[in-house]
Amino acid sequence: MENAQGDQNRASKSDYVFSLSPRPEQEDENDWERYSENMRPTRRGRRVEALQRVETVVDEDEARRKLEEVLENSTVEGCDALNLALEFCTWFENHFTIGHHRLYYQFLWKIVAQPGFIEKYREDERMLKIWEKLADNSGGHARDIYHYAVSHKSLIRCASMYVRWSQCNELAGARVEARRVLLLAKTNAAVPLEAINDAEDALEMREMRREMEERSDGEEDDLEEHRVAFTQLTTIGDGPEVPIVRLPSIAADPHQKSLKLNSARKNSPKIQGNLHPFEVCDRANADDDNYLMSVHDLNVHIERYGIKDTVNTRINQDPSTSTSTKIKPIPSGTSYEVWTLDDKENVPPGGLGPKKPRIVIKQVFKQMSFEEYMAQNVAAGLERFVGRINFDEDI
Amino acid sequence: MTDTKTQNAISLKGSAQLVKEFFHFGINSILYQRALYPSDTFRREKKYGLTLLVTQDAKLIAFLEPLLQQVEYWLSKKQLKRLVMVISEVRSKEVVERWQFDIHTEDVDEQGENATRQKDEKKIRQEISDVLRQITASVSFLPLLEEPVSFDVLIYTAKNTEAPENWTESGACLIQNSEQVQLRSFSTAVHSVNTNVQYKAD
Repeated sequence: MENAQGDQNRASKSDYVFSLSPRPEQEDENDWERYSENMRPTRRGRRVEALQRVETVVDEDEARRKLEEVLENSTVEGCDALNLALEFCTWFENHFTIGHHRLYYQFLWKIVAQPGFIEKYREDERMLKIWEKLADNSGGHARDIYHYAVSHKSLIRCASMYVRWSQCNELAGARVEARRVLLLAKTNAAVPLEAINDAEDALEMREMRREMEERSDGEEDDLEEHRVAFTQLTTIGDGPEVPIVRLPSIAADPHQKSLKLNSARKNSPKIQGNLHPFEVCDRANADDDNYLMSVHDLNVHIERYGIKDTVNTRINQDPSTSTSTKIKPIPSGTSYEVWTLDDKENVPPGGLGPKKPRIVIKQVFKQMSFEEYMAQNVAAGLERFVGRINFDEDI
Repeated sequence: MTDTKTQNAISLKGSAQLVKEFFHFGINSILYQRALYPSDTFRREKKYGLTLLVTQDAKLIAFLEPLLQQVEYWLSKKQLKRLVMVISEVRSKEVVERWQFDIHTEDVDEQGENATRQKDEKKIRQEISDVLRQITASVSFLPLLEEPVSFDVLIYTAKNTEAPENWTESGACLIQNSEQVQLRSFSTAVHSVNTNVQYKAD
């Protein structure tokens, strides 16, 4: 009997202990974890209110209206336009917790493009938040954004600005550029100097770490099989090896030394099937407002590629610096898009446009690799340049 | 029936071990998620049905092991009230993040009839895994730590508690105008641990 009472006491105490843990309340609809997957991490964190479930859904039109209000209020004399802009940014991030990069980017450009806005807040460190947000939503054009800001003399003496810019360069693999940006910071007398020095030290440490890792990886790679480059196969760097997996994009790189694609092409009048190689156009100037504003409108990863027309001498001479040439997409119903150069000269009198090389490219490279294609089709052209050696002939 | 009761019974010492284990994985998770140490200095470990990351840094282990042993001792003596992990900027010493674990200890004896409580160990582990999962999910709202930061652990104990010689007294390291997010809590039926994180949001 005593034991039973003891058990009951323990049980009642045990019940009391269980009640300490407020499990039912935690699992209510406002539990932030339920929505955390639908939340994009932001550079400066989110407020608690933003973690709660939003009852009213805000659409893009409402966001546009709110931005218009902000821009209108910014024109009032004595008004802190930057503060209004930052408040709008917080509101937007709280209501559009994921996605909407393009919309947000457009809005931020509208804010920055207000007449005299950059000039008014040239030395105001709050502008860094705006540039950061623009960079984070620029779809991989963060470096250009910081370049644009500094070239417009915004926060030209703010060390944090250069540190961010340098980090973006480093993340993009442009390590030399990353160093240059920090040097530029010193040239422009950015403060605090310690921040730049620390960033330089950290950059060099990471670089050393990467170097060591690459070396250790390289030692392991020595054991792996390599193909030796023969004839048309492109090599990796200056070495004799060629990649096991061959990508047309690598093979088509005009900077590859061993393939001599361009020199062979210049001497061959026409390639069978009207196939034109791709050529990388020079990147647009980051100072160009229009270019930066429309980064989301262009398909970012292919926007800088056009098809080199070997017949058109004007483009051949210097396609990367041509200002009169515009890149436009070829309309197609497929998921694969090729961008071509707008060239009215090539349109035949019948009104039909030039033949679409897209289909040829797709068909050819489904069946064989780029090198194999070149070996078959350019061999005839190469024979003209390669002399047959007659060992019986007297020299 | 008796067997089941024995399996579900948890003592003060056993609870202290479980809570210490939670702190071990919790602190390591925070260090990894908040990138206080390079990610390649962590190794994966399966625990509570999760893949957790635990440091391999010898110096960090040398700091954490005696700390957690002392925490376990205080837990088993019912002297630990709160553990706080403070993350502060190296240059300015400003506290940027504060992980607070409030501990409530039930009135249990170290020995005797009132020495155990009943709770399924599986349930306890499930609750612990919920908290650890939330620590991982917290990166969705916490700000990026862009400046170099360091961390420290603060312990709140009962008044008459003696600390080891190499421990010093400290301030609360609070953050002014901070945001505070409540994480889930768990209970071993002897100790209940309530977690929250404070940070500076812009």
